[in-house]
Amino acid sequence: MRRFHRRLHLWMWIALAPLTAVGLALAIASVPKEQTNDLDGALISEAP
Amino acid sequence: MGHQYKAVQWNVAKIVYDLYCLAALAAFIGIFMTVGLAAHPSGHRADPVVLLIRALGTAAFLMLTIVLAIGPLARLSPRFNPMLYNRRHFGVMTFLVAAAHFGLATFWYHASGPLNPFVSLLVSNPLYQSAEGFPFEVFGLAAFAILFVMAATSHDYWLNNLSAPVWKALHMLVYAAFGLLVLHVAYGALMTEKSAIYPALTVAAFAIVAALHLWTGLRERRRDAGMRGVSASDGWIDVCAPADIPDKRAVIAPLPSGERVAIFRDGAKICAMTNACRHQNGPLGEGCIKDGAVTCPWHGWQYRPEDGVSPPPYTEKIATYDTRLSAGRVFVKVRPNAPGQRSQFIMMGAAP
Ligand code: FES
Repeated sequence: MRRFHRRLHLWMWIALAPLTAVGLALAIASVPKEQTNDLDGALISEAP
Repeated sequence: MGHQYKAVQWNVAKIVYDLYCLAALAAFIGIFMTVGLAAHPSGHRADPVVLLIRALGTAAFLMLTIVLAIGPLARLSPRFNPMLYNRRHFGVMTFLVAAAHFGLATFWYHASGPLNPFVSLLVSNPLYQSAEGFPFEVFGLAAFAILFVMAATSHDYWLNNLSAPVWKALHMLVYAAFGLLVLHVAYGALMTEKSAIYPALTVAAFAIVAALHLWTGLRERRRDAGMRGVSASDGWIDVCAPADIPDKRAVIAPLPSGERVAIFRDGAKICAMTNACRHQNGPLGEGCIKDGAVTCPWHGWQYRPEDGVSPPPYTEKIATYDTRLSAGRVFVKVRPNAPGQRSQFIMMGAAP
């Protein structure tokens, strides 16, 4: 690769990696907890 | 010239490789569907269409992960070069699987209402403030749009029209597509998954690809930083001793301009040329000499070592550099010769 592409490649990853990691961490932290509902949909219990 | 170059199109090896890939893809989807149908709790039969949508999406994500890992792996070890040689076909196949996932999901979830399915895809979920219910489809749509441009311009026709540097820069958008796909999976499939396997696999895929690219990118940067020390007061730089160059291979050296030169040895002959292949700027110095021609490790384009011209019937040309031997060291002239110009090269054992 030419020097311009080597730089572009590195800077793209320096920007992309933390952005994606934060988005991914936020999503995993927001996964709804497992819960049990009765037949009418009312919440019975929620996993800790 | 380049328009007629057929090195990267179809040949027996590529057809066999594509057939293996198709067989692996079919096996993956078959196993995914079988396990999905069997593992579902009794009384709640999984919908086969939904399972197929998931199978195609998972396959496309895994395939893009592999596609993006191939480049840095090949920089770390030449053992991965055969995968690089076939990467373009695998990339187009990835796009086709992603297109099948996109088409099926759009029509399955959005075709029954009054709105156009594509409009419905964009407006049916306005929960942009919620992480849990975020319209993850927009991430997938943006990633798919990028993959579409990549696939549509993947042919050498576009490479020649756009020029290799522009084409290469454009195709680096695929990294953004990967980031968007990670988020598409995270805010989509992961939100309804109870098993820890999916989040673990998604994190692993992202971490492996990001680490490989950052690692190789930083390594290249360190090499570039080393160039600052290169001085060429008399217009020549000392690159190595002849014995440092393995036979039929090259040593890559930095130039004060920031570009790199590949110094090849073919028996007693030592020649230098630009390290950037005319095709996609692949690293020629990581290739070897086959049948008397320097052969690019990426897709096999060839150049004669002395003048940088592709052997007939091809006509591509790359820049060469003059070399000379002085006090047992190989020196390279920092100014390149015009592409295709015969260089002054070293014949070991010849009278000075
Ligand atoms: S043959 Fe494709 S980059 Fe060299």
